[in-house]
Amino acid sequence: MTNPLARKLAQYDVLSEEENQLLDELIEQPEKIVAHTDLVSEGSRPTESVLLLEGYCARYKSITPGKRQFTAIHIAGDFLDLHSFLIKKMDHSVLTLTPCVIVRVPHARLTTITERHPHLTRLLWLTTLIDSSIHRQWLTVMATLDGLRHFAHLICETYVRLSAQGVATDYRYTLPMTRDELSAVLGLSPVHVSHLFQDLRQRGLIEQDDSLITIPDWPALATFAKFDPTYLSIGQEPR
Amino acid sequence: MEQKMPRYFFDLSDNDKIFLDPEGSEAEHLELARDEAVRTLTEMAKDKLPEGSSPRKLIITIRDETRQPLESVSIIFELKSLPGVPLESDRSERLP
Repeated sequence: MTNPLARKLAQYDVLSEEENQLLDELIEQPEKIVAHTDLVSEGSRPTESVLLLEGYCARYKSITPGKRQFTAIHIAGDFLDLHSFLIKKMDHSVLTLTPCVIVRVPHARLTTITERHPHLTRLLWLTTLIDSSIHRQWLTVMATLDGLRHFAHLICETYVRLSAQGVATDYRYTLPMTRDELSAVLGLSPVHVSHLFQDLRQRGLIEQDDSLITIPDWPALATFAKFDPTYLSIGQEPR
Repeated sequence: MEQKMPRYFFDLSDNDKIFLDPEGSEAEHLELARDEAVRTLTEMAKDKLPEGSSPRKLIITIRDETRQPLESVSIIFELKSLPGVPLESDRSERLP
């Protein structure tokens, strides 16, 4: 199996053999986690950072007991909790949306990497910058697009990220989220989310078979959602 | 044992178009289901009304598990041109 983290970083620049080897050593002890488990908890001070190898996770803020706002969705290859290495006290939580395979990397090991491998350090830095450019995009989309385009934008973004990671092809992927979870992402009521799903289907912009989403006409959906993938910074160049 | 929450269905009619809720949502009681319907309508109103033709009527019918209608919540959007005498304040602005 290709190392999902190496795959992710190679989206942005070529990795050296030494870097690839180091990344392989990093994922030597994978762990299976069941769905709907908190991997990181708000208020805690983690001593290790979670790297996601398989599955889907969400970063979230708790609003009131039982109510939360998802602020990011993470996919295979995302070093999603690189944040805790420097943030120290967590201002948010991360939970698994599906069964996941993860690796916990001790912060001490990250310190060593940053001291000895400047190029790898820049690439890891870049991934956190991309996390923030996704946040920026979500904020802009939430403020400027209607619910239907907002949802369509999320469907486009998720496909582009999955396909860059090599886990989705042919404009088809699994979006294993309930309508309550999508509601927590979009900031719209669950009933509204169901209605938007139906509306997108009826307009022929997506096909849906349970959690399997197919995009029959990519340009049509991307245009409708005003989706421009520039903010995802995909493409190998010296960094 | 945990008590099972009732499930409510929220069917929408947007002028003549009907969208049936295929899965429903759980809510502790009808008041919370009504809150959900109101929240949904106000969100939809924000998106749909400005682009819609006038008049526009959005109705959510809340149904129970046997699909019996319990309540309906609606928002009506209507534009009216009002010919007539301009307001005193409008007139004073326009006069030199």
